[in-house]
Amino acid sequence: MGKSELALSGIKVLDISSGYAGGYCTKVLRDLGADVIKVEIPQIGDICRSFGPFFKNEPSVETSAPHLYLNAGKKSITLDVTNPEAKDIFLKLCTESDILVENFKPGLMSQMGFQYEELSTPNPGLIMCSLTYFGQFGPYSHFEGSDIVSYAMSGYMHLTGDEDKEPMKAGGRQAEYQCGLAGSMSIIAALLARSVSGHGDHIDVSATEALTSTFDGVAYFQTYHKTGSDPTRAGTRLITREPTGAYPSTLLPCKDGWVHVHYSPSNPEGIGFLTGNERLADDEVMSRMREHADEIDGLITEWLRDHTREEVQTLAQEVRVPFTMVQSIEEILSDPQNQHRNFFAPIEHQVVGKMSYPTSPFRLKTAEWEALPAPILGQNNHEIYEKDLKIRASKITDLKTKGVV
Amino acid sequence: MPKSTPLANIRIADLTNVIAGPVATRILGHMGAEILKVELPWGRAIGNIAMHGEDEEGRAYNKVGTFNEVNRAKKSIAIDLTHATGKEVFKEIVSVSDIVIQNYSPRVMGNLGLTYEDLRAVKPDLIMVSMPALGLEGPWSNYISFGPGTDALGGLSSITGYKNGRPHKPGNFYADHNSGFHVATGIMAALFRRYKTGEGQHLEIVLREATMSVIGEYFIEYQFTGKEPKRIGNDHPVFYPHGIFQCKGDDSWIAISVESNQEWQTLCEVIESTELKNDNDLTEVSSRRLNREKIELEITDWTKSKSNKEVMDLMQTRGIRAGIVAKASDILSDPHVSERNYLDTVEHPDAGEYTSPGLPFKFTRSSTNLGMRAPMFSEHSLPILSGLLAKDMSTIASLIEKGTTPLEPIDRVYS
Repeated sequence: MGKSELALSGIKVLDISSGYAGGYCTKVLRDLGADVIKVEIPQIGDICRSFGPFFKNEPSVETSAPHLYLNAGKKSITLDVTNPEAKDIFLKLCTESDILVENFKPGLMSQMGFQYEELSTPNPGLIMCSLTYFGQFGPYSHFEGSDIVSYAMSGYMHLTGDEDKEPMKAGGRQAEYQCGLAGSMSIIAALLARSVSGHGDHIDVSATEALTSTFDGVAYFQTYHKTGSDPTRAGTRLITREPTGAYPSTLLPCKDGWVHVHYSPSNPEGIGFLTGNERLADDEVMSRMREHADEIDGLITEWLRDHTREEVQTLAQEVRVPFTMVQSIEEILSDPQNQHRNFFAPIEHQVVGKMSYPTSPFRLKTAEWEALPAPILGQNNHEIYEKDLKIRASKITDLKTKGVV
Repeated sequence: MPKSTPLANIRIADLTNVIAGPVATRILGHMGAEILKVELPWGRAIGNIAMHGEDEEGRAYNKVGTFNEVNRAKKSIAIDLTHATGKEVFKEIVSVSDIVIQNYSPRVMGNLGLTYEDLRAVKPDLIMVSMPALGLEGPWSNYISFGPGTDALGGLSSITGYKNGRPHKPGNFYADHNSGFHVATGIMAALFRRYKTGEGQHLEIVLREATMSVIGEYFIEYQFTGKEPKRIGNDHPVFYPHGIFQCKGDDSWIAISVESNQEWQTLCEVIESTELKNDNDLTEVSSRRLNREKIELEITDWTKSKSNKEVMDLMQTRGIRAGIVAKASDILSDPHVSERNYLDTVEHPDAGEYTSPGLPFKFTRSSTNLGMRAPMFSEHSLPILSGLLAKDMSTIASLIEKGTTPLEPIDRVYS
């Protein structure tokens, strides 16, 4: 089974964005079968190429870990779309694309003459997706953003961290990843709408809203309305603190590290049975579990102390109790479940050699994910400029000299 | 011409419970799909996780906060799938649906005799979505885990935490929402493929794999360095200052990230610190990192005298990346959130008015279905049975009487 059977095969994506959000947006589209051309600034490339860590700790545009992950399987051409001399080429690329992804500050595309109305006139089916930290309109739309700023303003940060410490950001770049995911989701919805109407769309995605969309308002807005006060972070426990609420759901230490322990609604006596501790199945505790959280943590920890993470997980899962290990990145790369499912695949890259890459979160039974490396900066210039767009080689050389290509 | 929704005319038979699955179908419901939520006959399992307070008026099952949030824009029919007649009713629904989605652990659908093959027999171009925690196959396939447990197994807990601290967790049910969004995306892609080819398919999206996908760079990093990535709290691997600073008021904070030496100079001007601005030792990020204590004291000295909103405005006016650490009340009263009409406030007959997150994107040429509340338990059983499935009244009466399609939750029997 080949690529032709993937869901979005034949869909052409022009990605002039730079950074994690656009990178993940078009990674998802690529995972689902679309052809993605990254349009990158000459010499410098996508800003992800400047983020470490780097292979052998040697910074270069080809050796950045986030770039290698996010851009695997995409094509790369160099073009400075902000340069007026690039305009003709860019417009031509747009007419041949189904999807355009950009993350300039709101207003900049219009300033350059690239507003959606302009771009879609010769190509009415074009879907343009604009990814920003705060959206295309509204009083903060001109604000300067970053992952941590969106994480903070989304409301997520206030709920992450320990009760007695400052709010904390999650690991990684979750605001930007969620922004990218919201982008790919809305783009595919627009493709479905286009199948019926024939016309494309301009989509406005906000990273801050994307992250706000990932928490449940019950822990947040509904609780605020109910209690009149702002819910606050609760360490590794769930935010809701009703005394009768279910518990545990937290991280606890065991013999060789940490495990996540969780109550099972379909097996309420399971934890008492697993640990052999009658108190954990006692009516007084069971009827007001969240109120007894500290006691429950203590009783489970007594049992955990004598067991390794792997023992905890195996023993608990045998009796249908959802306890799971906190695994390190190293362990995840080779855990038996990932090995069985081949979630990581080896990819050979001409500069960094062979590495294991996360494949795709979409397991389509009709086709395999294609394991290809991230492109070298400008790798596809010749193919796209001269073969596809039929631009004369001398013109390309000229534009190269001027730093446009 | 009035705008239509992207998923108009799509019908989804939704067997999902708890959070991740319902999040996926609430997104699709908001994009115009008709979601038939097939509920368990004994009511709402999620109540055991997040039941909000006791209830004296009865019908507590209609007032479960999380349920009402993640099941907006759906219809409810309760079916006991362990009854042979229940399976038949379900298959009739499938025969007039485009998609079946389920998030049971892998063995359940097989035990019920409702596998993809079973259901494709009644709907040849069916798209079926399975969203197990760890995968339909493999040594851990039958392990059960909720979202926070897959954070742990998938690496997010390991890279989240205060500097030199223990592994931690982000927010509340992040992994569930993250996988729900991936599932909504995958379902629409499968619909697009069906539109082109006429074929359905069985799509699998695994909670943990969605989590690993949003931290993918860390797996490459480990292979580069041979070292576990460190937990760094609010730090950034390169930029400094980058973090949060205390402001005036209780638990009040501002997030600031300075990403160039020019921004550093501007920051010094905004906080009126000539001392920092004129300190030539601090012009480069590498040297700033060595003087954290001094810099943090100086910034906090200034931020503590102002509200976080004042600080945000003063910083943003000068182009510094800064934003308040927003609380629920901040978001509910935020002029930007309001102008963008982001929040979704609905009125529910039993639960009253409630506000939830809306959609993180805005179409120009398509509409969405925000503003629709969650259904009450079994609210649409009768219209679905008599309308969509065209059953006669005596058949419907018998289904209700035998508890196959109950109109009120029945006592759960643990087998």
